[in-house]
Amino acid sequence: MDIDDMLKPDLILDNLEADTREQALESMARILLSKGYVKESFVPAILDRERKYPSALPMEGHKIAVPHTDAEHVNRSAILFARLARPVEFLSMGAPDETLSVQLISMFALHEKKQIGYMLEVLINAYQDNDTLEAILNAQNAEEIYALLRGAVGAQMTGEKPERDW
Amino acid sequence: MRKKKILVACGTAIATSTVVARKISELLAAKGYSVNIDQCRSAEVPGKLHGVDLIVTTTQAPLNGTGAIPVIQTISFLTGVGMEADIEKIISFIKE
Repeated sequence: MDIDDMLKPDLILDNLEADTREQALESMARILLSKGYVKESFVPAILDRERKYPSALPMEGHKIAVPHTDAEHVNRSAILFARLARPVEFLSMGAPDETLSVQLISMFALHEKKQIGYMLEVLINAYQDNDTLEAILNAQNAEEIYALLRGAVGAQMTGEKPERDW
Repeated sequence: MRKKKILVACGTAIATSTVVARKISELLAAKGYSVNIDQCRSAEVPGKLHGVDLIVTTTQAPLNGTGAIPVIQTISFLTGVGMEADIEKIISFIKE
């Protein structure tokens, strides 16, 4: 499994219309379903997981949500990234009574945690860089968002090899 | 000296705790500490406590049966905000 097996141009959504986080999550989950990455059960599972364990991360500057759920609902690992037409309210992972305004969502469909730990870490590192999130928010279109994401991940991956498989 | 064991807990034990476990391991290694790290779902914590010296959890869900084992609740290893302070806190619990 390589980063390019999970992070793909056709898995970038721009201008996704949603009035609530539930609408955004359901639309995204259904796209993964239509492309065969996940099972039908992924859709309710991702909504249920968000209720129990909110997924928005208050980074230093912009916020990002990283919804995901159990591997049993997934056929093939993928990362579906969305820039919403307008921000919607998410609850913070660390403080569920805190509301965060989120326009960027990185949905993980994870089939097998071995071998992808390093890629997840690299992605999270990229999201921790406020300049990267700022550039993604200001990008012209989905192609540019993909190029920014792939570039940020690629920059992180140079030199350092994964030492563990979790 | 016995290696200290850290249990990292999150909602699904597939994404969040994987990243947190890797980060903690790397940051501790950079400071000369080698630890054993295990990861699990929040709900599995009571059955995973054998030999555990410290629990790091990313969720606010209350953990049951942790007894005297210290618990650090933080998302700093995901957001990057406050990460250094949390590593120092972890070191204070694991050093002899």
